[in-house]
Amino acid sequence: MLFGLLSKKAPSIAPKITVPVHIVLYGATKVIPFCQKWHYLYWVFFCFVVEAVIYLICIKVCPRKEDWEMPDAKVMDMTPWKTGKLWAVVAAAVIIVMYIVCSPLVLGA
Amino acid sequence: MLLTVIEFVAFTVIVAVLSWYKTKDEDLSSKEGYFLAGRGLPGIVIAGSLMMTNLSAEQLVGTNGQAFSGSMSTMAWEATSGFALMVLAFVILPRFLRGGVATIPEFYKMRYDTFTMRMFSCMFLIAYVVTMLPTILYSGSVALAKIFNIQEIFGVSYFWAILLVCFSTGLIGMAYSVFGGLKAVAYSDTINGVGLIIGGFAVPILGIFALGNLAGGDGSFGDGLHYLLTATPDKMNAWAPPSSVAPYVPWPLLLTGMFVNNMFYWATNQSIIQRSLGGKNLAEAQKGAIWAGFFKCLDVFVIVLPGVIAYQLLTAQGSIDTSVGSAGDQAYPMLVMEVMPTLLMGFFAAVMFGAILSSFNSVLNSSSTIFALDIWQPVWEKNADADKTVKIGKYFGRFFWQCCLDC
Repeated sequence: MLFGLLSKKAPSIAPKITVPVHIVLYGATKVIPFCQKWHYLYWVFFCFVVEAVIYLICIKVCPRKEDWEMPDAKVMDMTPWKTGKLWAVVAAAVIIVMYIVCSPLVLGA
Repeated sequence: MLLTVIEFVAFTVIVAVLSWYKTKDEDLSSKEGYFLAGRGLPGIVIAGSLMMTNLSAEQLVGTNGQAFSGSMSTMAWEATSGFALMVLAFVILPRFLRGGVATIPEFYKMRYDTFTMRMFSCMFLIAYVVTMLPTILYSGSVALAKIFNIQEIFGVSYFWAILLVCFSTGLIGMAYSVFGGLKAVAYSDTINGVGLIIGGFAVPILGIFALGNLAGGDGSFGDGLHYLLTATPDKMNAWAPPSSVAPYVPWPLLLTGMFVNNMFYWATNQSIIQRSLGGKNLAEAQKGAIWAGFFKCLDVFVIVLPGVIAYQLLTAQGSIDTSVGSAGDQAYPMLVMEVMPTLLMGFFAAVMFGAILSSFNSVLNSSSTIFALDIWQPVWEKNADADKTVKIGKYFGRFFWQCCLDC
């Protein structure tokens, strides 16, 4: 989905390849004993990288003929939240502070 | 015990009446009205509804249980969501809202083709109906039954206790979802959210007082807090080594695997994104997403920290054997019974019930949205009224069957 939004050229064949690939790959990590030794989110990330590569290959090999744009349905006011970016930075700072507090530097020592 | 039951019923009814009052004049006949709350939700309602959909009763038990057996590294599931919510607010929402998209599969159709859309719709529906709905109902009921000892209150067997909770949740959930649409669901979520915040925060605060008593001293909050922060430093450490496995979350995953997981949950999950798509305008939808990020940080105190408190309190009392595999799942219920005054139990039960209800409702509402807009309408071209009746029947049958199967 991310690629569909961000790339103008991604062809419709790409999701049809990546979805079955994901099911098979991720299923495999649940069966192979070696994979159990690592946290399963490592494998989630691994699948994501593999699928991103497949997408890039698809875009290179058979790009869409004309660029895709999200049509403007004009259903609502599209003015972005003015101070949104600022609040996002504050939110990120809160997360980072929490991780510093709960680290060997402060409480974990 | 009678007091608990009366409180429970009273709070549940108040929420229902308030949601009904707030939404009684809504036009539910159109697709926008029923599925997207008439595109009129303000930011704070979006954020509250996002949180309540995300937070469910089984998490109170499950995530606290993970923190109990593992450490504060469990907070990765909560705190890092903020990053994914930022991507949702600034990258994804502006594009979706511009295109007036109502469902994720609808977007796949616009961007790719009908086949891709059908593929994703079917996957979503299978995931919702077969895995999410029964899990929410079953594990939520187990949590409620454990914490409030439903077996003893009503004098029934374990099987009937679970069935009773499953059935009443399913029934009330369906009433909201089917008769009220997204707006009723979103408003009841917000009211329940306030209750959950009060009840959820009461547990760690009362827990810290209990730790204060344990630590000797005069049993003050400060003593308890000092004990909590210094007694078990390894439990307070959120940085788990790269090679650790669940319930720990290794630190290299925070911005990699966890981020992919969060993106999937917060940005491609219909039951989540539907709330943001119901925003009044882009600014309100963005506010909803960013505020939800703040709430996720607060979440840590409600669904991770009590696990650590339970560890310290219960092991010091010797009332729990940590070597038993299922000790984690009992940690939160035991902590609640230990610290929560009887007077508040009924209120807390109603809030927990609301949390199960809300997760269930959201998924149900999203399933009907996808089913009606992406599968039923294009394939059979019926009008919206006819769909609803069919859907109700289908889901009720499905749900009831699943419920019995699980129990």
